[in-house]
Amino acid sequence: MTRLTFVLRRLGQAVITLWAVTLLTFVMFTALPGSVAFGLLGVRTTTGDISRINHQLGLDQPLWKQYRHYMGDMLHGNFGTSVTYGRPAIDVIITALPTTVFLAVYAVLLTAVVTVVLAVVAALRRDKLPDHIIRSVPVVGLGMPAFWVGTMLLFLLAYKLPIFPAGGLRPGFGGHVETLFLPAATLAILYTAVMVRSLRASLLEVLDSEYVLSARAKGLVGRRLILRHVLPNAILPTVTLLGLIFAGLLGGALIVESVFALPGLGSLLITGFQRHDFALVQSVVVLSAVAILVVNIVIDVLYSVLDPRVGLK
Amino acid sequence: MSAATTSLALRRRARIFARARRSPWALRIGVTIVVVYALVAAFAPLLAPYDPLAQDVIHSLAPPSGQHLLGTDDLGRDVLSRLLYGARIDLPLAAISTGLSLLAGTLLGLVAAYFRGWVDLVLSRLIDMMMAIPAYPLLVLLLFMLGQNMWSIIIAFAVTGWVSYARLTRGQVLVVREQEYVTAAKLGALGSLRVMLKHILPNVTNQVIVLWASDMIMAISSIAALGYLGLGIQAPTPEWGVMIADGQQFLLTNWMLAAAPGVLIIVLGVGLALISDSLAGRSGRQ
Repeated sequence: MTRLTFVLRRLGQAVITLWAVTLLTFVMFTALPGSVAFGLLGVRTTTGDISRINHQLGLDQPLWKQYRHYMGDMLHGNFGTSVTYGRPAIDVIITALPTTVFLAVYAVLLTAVVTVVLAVVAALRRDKLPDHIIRSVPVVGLGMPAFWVGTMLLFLLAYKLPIFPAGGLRPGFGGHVETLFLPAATLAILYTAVMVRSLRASLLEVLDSEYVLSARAKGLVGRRLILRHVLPNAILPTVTLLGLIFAGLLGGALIVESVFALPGLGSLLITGFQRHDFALVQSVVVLSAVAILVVNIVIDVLYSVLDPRVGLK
Repeated sequence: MSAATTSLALRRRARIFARARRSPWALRIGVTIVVVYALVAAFAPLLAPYDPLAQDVIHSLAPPSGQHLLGTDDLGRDVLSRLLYGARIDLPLAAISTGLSLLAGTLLGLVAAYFRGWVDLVLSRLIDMMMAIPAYPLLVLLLFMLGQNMWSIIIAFAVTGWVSYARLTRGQVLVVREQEYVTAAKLGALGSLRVMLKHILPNVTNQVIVLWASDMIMAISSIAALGYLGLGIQAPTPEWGVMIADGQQFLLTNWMLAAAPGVLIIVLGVGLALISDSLAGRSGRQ
């Protein structure tokens, strides 16, 4: 199959999946208890208010009409108005998007660096103390809840030793790098725990291969061998995992954003849920689904570019 | 059975035992940790020195002492008692919800891969769709729909959790169903149900259990995360995530309040990870 037909076919499948996602969230949200009016106006809401707001938002119409309306809008790129912010949901999201993207890139970069360093050290010192320590990282790391790690980092590096700011977001690139360090580090700690083992395993596999043996026979040792011959051939699965992590983070790092009070997509999601702001929630969910689907296709294509032996199916 | 296959089987069994002997401590420690947690959950009322909900505002935020081994929280509740009672919330919730995911996912994967055809097609599309939805938004959406109580948490986790079991089982069964002994069983006029349960399912169980142990880790930290975000179990229930959220305001003065529940979660996670790892090592998957 050529690359173009592959991409087109996968895009077709992605569109169907996306449609199913929108249908699912629509069905689930209309089945929610409580009303938008209540979320908007709080405890003083009267029944009159509820029916007035429901009428304004078209929520008193039959479901199939609401759905037709909503799909029509979406196909025209109109994701509805966020009732919480009184602006188009897509605008609200676009304001929050840079924070989330910055955090996602930051976290993935940190994760990549730490994972590669740890895995290379473990593979070079195989079955020695550093290897044993690094191999036990996942055992501890998998069970660490993100909000707890974040809280502890705050306690240690923002309160006890005031190196980093305790939350919020400062403007500008430098400000972002500084204020988003702890959130990104929190995510990096958790993701490194997931990834270090698989990279170590594939490094060892490559180290045992015959072409590494022949490189060794030519006298190559140490860093040059690892960086030029071993790492490029071992890193593909890690790249895939990083891509998936990146896609997942584009949906907003719900917990970390909450711990560090960051104005990203995750915070929008929580607000949207609490206020029954359908348009907002729907847009975040659809956007993150798009991100996951696109990243998946990109990874598959990238894979076949990086490793020609991998066919496109 | 010929002598050759017998000795092969014996050698294989010897290898498994050798491997088990080489690292039995990991499995033993893991099982011990989990059993201790389960016992604490079962006997929390006997072990806890105080009622986990009893407030004593005059002695709030007390440091550890002979009376309160781990001190008290902002409402004067005994921290140790709350931690012990927490095992009754997080552990059963995680076990039941992942257990439901396991049953539903394994069954669906098994049926789909065995019969193929439209059943498999529908299931595969469903899996694709579930994989494209980020987990937390879906979980939270379900919780709002079902209300915030224990049962809705269990259902929400089961609805989002079955996918990985179905994927795993489906992939495995697709391979196993082509094996000759399965064909032989079918030719022997055994019913589909019997072939599926007796001849195919046993090939999948070990890997499903490995997945289950690591899934439990995820479930426990997700349940705590929902409690922390105020979306799951609600205060004043002594749930570990809720306790961390409550303790966060007192980080500067009483950091133990937020740290201790997290340590409990991590230790339980280590126990489950050791179990999962040593079982995975046994099936030769590492």
